[in-house]
Amino acid sequence: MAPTMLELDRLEKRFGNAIAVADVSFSILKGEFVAVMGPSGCGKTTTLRMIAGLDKPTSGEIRLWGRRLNEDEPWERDTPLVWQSYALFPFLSVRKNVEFGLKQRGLPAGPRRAKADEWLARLGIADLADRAVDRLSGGQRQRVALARALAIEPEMLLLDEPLSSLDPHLRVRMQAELVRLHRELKITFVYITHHQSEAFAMADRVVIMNEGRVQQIGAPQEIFRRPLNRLVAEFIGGNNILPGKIVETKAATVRVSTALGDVWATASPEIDSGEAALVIVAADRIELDSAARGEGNEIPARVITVEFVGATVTVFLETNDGGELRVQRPLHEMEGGKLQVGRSFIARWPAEHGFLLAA
Amino acid sequence: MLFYLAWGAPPLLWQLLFFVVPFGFLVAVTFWSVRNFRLTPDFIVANWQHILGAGFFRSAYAYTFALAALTALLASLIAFPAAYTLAFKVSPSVRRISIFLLVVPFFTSYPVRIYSWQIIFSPFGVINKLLGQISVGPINLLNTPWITILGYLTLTLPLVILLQTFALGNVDRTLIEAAKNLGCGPARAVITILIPAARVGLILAAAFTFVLAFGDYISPLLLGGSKPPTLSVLLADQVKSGNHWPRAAVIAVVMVVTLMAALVVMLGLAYGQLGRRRA
Amino acid sequence: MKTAAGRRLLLQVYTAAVFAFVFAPIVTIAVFSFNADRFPSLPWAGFSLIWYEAVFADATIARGLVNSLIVAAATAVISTFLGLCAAYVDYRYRFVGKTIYTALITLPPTIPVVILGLAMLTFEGRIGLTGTLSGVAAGHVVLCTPFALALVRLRLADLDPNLEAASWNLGASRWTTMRDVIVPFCFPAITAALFLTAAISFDEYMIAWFVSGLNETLPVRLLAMLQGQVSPRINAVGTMVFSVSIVLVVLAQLIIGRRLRVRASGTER
Repeated sequence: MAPTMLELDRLEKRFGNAIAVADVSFSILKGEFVAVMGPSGCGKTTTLRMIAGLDKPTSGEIRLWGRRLNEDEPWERDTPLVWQSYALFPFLSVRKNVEFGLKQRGLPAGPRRAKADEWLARLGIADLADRAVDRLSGGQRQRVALARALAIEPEMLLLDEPLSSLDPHLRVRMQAELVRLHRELKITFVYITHHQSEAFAMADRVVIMNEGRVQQIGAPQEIFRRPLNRLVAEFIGGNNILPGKIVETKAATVRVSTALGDVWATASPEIDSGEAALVIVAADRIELDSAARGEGNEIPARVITVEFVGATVTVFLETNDGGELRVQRPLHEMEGGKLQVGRSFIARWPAEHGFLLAA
Repeated sequence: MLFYLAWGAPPLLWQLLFFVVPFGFLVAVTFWSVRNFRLTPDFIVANWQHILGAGFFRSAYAYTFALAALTALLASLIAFPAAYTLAFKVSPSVRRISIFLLVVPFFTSYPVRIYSWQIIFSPFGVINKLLGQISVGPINLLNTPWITILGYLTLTLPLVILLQTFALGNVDRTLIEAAKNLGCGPARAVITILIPAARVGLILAAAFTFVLAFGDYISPLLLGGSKPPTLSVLLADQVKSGNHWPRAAVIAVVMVVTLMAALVVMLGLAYGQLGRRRA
Repeated sequence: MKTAAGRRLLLQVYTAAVFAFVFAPIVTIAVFSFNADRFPSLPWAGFSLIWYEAVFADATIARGLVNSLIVAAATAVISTFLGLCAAYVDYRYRFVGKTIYTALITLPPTIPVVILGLAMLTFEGRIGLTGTLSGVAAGHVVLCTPFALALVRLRLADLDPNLEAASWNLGASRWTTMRDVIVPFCFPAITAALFLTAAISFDEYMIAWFVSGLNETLPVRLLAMLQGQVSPRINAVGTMVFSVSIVLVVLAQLIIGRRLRVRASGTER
């Protein structure tokens, strides 16, 4: 088990009367790739800035290897940041940009240049070394920003939505590169994003934030399968969220009355019979059949829209009472003209694939 | 924070020391006296009484004010068609070059440029030589208010054109297009839409012209022949021949107060009506 | 002339005429400085450099020129520095009284120079700076700093707000960031400001007239000559003075202008 490197302990940040970050606590292990994710304004960028020292916490503590970091100035810390806008120095060439951090650390000109060239080569942009910054494409700037931060060989790299200004094709390529770099360099990455797909694709652990608070922390798959509250469930997508009331309990299952009719789901120890609850059913756990079989939950529904995203199809269905369901299936299952708007199916899923969340 | 004081303080200190204090001092000096040709700290109102009561001061004040106001008007009128042309009727590269050129005279020696008019309009100058070809003159064109205004125009015209061009260029084009779309002819569009829309910039340009013309020393001296004198000439005289700094200071303070009042009025005109119009 | 094209042409001709008026004095002086005739008038007496020779031989003019250059250099350096300080503070910080701070620094060019000159005279008289070049430079700095401030501030407006933070993040303290990021970034504006303030100081006649006393600067010497007899030497000196100012201003504009064009085309692809 890797040692704990960075601890955030009950961090709070206020700007005037506005609370940007409230009671945020979590730890980051050495060599981890942690993604902090959430909608705009959730406090993820402010948290990152506090780690870098660009904003001072109103209360709470940040500890690096056990030592309190709050009073350290940004230039005293070893937490280089890859900026969303790259923040490259326009009056310096690419190489000189990469050398900047090394110069501040007192490295003489010769070794400095050698190290900068080493990192430029590593990121595949050695031929751009003497280029002016304003003549680079977005992807190239991205790499210069990375090289600049990595050249000082830090223990921890902070990344603030570095891929958001790239076009989708480039973004996917860069994601793979970042993961590769992380594996090679074995340094800690703290990565901020509001794209769920990015965070889940790259990170060892994901921290989900909303309105300044931590909502859930865990490995991507864990969060995907088991969101801990409605906010997370909605944010990560791919789930049906059915509000309802628990009507009956039988062994480890409950019957919940919802807008789709009565639905069986796995019981939760925290929610009693008679109470309101949310039934969460993952969209990819529902199958569509032409006839009922008498197994599990079976809801008749009519197709309203069909969405094709690559090899996955998302089908939006409506029940007779006006309830909505979303189902995700692989493309090959849905071929053969079966899917037509207006066509009726039976949507089926076993009770154990639906779980409860507090309403 | 020490850093911000370190950078913020130098300009502030310099301006305090060499701008604010001298001004405060100037106001104080208006109450000092001159004894045995020496400036002595005192508190008398004689300087104020002397100057404000003097006929020559009052006529110089009226003359300076009238001339400056007339210049502001003339400069605005003369500049407007040129500014309009630069803003709308030339290609962007011509506009850029024109602005580039217009900035240049602004920073060249003003007295020498006035001297140029002096020799052109002198009894031996080019104009009279040409008139002589048709057996007219020589006419004394110098030492009149009009030639003084010509000098003021030399000082202010580049600035007015630049400011007006900028103001006109900033007007939302769609306003003018909408007017034309509704059947407004070009001249009417200018008067009813363009000028009101650019009002702030146009008034500011006129205000600057007024300030420059009001305070100028060179044109009244070299072209106007100091007869009648403007306030600036009076001021310089008090220093040069009379060595009476307190009286000069009185003139200076009166000038500053007048200009501030004029600026307040003009800025009020520029921005004030914005509220009234909406209602 | 009722057609749109006709109107356009008329306007362009008018504008050209206005430009001719603006440039006529400069051109006239330059032209007549080469006129062999004593009186700057028609008919043209032939091309000659004798007035330039007379000017170069004149010791008072030479002294005036040297004084002007010294004052202009000092003014340029000090006012550009102060302009940089004020521009940076204006860019970076919000504080109580910022409007007054900015007003104080940018007010001087709106005050008639006669009054500025008199204020300098009375004040510097008390502290013993009258009759010195330092006294003249002090007044010039007050007048020129707003121009330097404007140029540097314009440049700073283009500064990515994250660049300073990026610099701190990479290990540079505030002071080092100033040296390694802000100043290099503002370099074109700083250079242009140096040229522009030098030009303003070089031509400044009124504050110098009040304060310089026996240490005349060139414009003061010129003013004395202008009030004396019509002299063809004035044309020669005038042309030289124009040349210096024009070169400085054109250089300043070119430096600033190139930056603007690069900014427009070279970013974000």
